[in-house]
Amino acid sequence: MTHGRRERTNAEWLDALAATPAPADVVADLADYLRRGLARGFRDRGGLREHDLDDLVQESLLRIMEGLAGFRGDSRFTTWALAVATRTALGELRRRRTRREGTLDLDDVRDAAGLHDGAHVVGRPAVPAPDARLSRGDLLGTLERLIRTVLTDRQRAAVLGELQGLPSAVLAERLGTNRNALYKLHHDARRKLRDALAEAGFDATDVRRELAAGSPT
Amino acid sequence: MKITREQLRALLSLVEVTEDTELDCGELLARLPALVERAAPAGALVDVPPEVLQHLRVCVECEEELAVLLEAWRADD
Repeated sequence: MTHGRRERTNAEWLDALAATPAPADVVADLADYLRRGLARGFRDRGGLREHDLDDLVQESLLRIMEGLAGFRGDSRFTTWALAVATRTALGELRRRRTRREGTLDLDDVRDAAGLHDGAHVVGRPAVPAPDARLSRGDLLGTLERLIRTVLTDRQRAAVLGELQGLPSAVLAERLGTNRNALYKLHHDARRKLRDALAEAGFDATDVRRELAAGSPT
Repeated sequence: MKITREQLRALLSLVEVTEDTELDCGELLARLPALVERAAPAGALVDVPPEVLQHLRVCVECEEELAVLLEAWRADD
């Protein structure tokens, strides 16, 4: 840590911040470091307002103090603390964006997942005709059908929630789980869909062709 | 809510690169500080393990957290 503040070893940071109460000068140094780091990190992303910055630094300090045991010691303590702060800030900004844009709620995800029989791809029937099911021609139609037929309800919600831009923290909260478990749901879903597409006769060439067809020219 | 063909293509692009085993977000995020400290001065990551690259390929939030952390950390070092 630079900028005129006293350099501290990882052990010094940990010992100080684990104390009750933590020394005010140590907390102030860390707050200052995080404030400058967050300001830099978000400068090219529209920046952060002063009062938001203050709130985010305070929230980050709380998380850092509560999460000291999670520091592995394979980096400088300040880099780890900055990672906690950026995660805290991005999480808050994603939540705000969701509220502002009125991103779908879990009922919408359930609808999309077919749990209320409401899902369909725009301009396409919800259930492909029998001949379409047998055809290798419509990869996206097959993928849409597989989303409804091979995934569990929670896997479907994880996949569709992400497609709709729902932040993982918000989606995890609504599914009563955490970010890691949500990632596992998503990963399991992707593996199932990959294998099911292969079983349906689609290979890597088909996938690349479909993705290329959707790429901007 | 409707699933658009663009959304299906986005999902397909993730399905295409799915591996049987992948790091979860917690493990990836735990590795970020050390990864960032090894970054070149211009911000390019070096010696990135394949499992980390794989996670970043399929997880837009972790990729964003890495990008912001790199910016936040770089100018201070």
